[in-house]
Amino acid sequence: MCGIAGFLAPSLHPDAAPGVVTSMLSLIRHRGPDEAGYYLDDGFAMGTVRLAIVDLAAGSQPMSDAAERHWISFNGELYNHVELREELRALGRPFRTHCDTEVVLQAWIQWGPECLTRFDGAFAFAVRDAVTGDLFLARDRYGKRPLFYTEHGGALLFASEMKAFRAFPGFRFTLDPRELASVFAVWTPLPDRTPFQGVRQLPMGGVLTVRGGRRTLRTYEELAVAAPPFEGSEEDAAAFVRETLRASVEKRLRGDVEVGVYLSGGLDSSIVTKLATDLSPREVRTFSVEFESAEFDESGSQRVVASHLGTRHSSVTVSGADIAEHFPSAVEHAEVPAFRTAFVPMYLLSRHVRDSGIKTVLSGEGADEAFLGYSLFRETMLRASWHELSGEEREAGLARLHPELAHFGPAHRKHMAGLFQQFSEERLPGLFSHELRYQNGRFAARLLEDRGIDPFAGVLDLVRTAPGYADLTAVQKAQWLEYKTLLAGYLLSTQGERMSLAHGVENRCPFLDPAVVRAAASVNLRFDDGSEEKALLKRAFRGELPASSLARRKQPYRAPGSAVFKDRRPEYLELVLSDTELGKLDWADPVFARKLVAKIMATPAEEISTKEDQAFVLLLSTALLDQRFVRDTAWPDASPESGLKIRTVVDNRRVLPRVGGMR
Amino acid sequence: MDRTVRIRQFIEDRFLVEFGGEVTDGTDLFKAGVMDSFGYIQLMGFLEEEFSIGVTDEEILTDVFVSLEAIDAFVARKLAGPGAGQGDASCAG
Repeated sequence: MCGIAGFLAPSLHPDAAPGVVTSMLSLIRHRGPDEAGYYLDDGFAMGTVRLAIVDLAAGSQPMSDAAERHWISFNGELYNHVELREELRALGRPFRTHCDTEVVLQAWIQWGPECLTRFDGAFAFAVRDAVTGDLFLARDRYGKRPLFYTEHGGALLFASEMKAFRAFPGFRFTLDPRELASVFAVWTPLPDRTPFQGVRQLPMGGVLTVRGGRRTLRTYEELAVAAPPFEGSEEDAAAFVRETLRASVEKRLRGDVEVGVYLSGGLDSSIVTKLATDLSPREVRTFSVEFESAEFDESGSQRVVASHLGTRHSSVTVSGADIAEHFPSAVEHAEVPAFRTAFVPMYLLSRHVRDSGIKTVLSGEGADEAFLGYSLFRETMLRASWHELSGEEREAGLARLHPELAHFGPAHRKHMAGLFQQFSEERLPGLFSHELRYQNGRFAARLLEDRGIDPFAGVLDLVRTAPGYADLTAVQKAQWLEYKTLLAGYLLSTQGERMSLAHGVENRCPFLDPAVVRAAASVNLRFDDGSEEKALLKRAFRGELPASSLARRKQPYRAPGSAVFKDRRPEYLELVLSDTELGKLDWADPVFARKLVAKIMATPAEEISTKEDQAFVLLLSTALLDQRFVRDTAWPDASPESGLKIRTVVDNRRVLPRVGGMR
Repeated sequence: MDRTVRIRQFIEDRFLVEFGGEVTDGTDLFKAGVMDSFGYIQLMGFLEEEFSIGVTDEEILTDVFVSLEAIDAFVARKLAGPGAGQGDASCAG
């Protein structure tokens, strides 16, 4: 795994370019501690920090073709690089290494941006054409690897993490209230947004071309949640799903380093572990988070699966104190507001994995989106059919939704029916599936001082302009939104990639293989009515996993929330406790913020509602971002010397800086 | 304490709002981001307990529970009409 950073800055003094690009790389060196390299030509610089996974010796970056015309800085992995290499070789493309980066480069030279639809991988990269001066930035179709860009004083900056921009002369972060409102309401940044003014993400499946000073952003592949229905029996469908997943895991076990598995104890990571133990030539190592508090702990299920499959299992036990201690560092790596604390344990888990000598892990992300694992999908179906159901059917549907939540229990079912009645009609065009959830978001959006902002304007626009969105079913729309927001904007990033890469660990998601997503779309709701979560997936692995793993209901991965801050009172809590500190947050409504904080601090944890807990975590994480990204202008460790192992320097500048100063 | 004041106070405490500013008695509390599913259940429980009223299956499916005004008017009707607390039952009819 790697990180990339660079800039197109015609007016930056040539003397400054090497220092700026190395400083940018040093700010993201946690992503690739093994080595670094950079490339320069006139008005342009880009570099890579690298965690060597494939072809450890020969894969140094930036890399070029033999003619030294095309240069690439690549972050990620291409899982089908073996097949593509064969295809490209047959077309006459030359190869000098066994590295997947070279396959990406040669595919780019052969097919241009059309190569992107052929890639199965997790990637973000930059290609510079030294002859034409064109620059291309591209990102994988699900948004597994990050790529941010911004304009500053006529320069275009890009990097795997926004913090790298700090090293560019004169660049400053400013929080954008409009984007904050959207993040608070929707829980995550939208696919092309960030909470910072003028800083964008390259959206998933996007390619940005910079040619002659003009920028063009295009989607090379739309997200497909619909597929032609599977033709065949239920048994055939189960076998099809099993085989597709097996092939996906097999591809992700390629590479020259040992691969581990994140085992949550749930169905999805158990399936990944099962397939990894079948396919790996060596003993599989599994890693888990355990909680001190029994309310959140899943170690029982984790151990059952590990012992059933014979893995070498280890775990890290996380307490409330650990969450409070590491929250600021984890937020700094996440770079965006967080609505829950569950990403912090993942930060500690990746540290444990790295210390165990493992650089790559598989995980179960993407299964719930693809195979309809979330209760959100059942809730959507229930509300969508509300007016056709009898009173008894409605009750039965409500009873199945959240048996674990008291307020969904029999005592409140009548009231819940009243609530669902209110949410049985679409109010926000295209967002029917998420309207009940977005009630929590509306509450958090009250943290914003400017009440004139419609927090849903961005997401409404996103679905209004998405090709084919209007033709999807209510459940498919729900899936689409999950892929575009919670999955990419939190699970894969804040809780996934950013936490793994904080400690130089690369994560891979077998459920997020295009073939698996397609397979799921073709079998979903084909043989069942969706009332049992992931019914076909369970069927596909019946007999291969412990019965308890198949029988247990989905238990959302959660961690203790606002209570840990209240109990531990870390120093940084002052950011929201003190009126002076709250006053420094120019985007926040001090009155509501004060009320919220006062309630959290004075109320027993069990009486705090989810929406209050989320709003508090959003406030605290955003206050930390404000302090560390906006107000702290002296970034402490931006010096290029701090630990960068520079191995490759390519200087193709025709206008070379003068040695010995001005004449 | 006055009925309206009791309801208003419950909503203000539970949902961290103050009536009179941007939230008024007529504001749709769902649209304003004041109420969520958990809060709604709490509110319904409060009304039934505090005023000893029972809400029927039909009543719950109407949209009377979205604003303070509507909630207050509903409670007033229940307290005045049949099927409410015992004191009310005796004067009904």
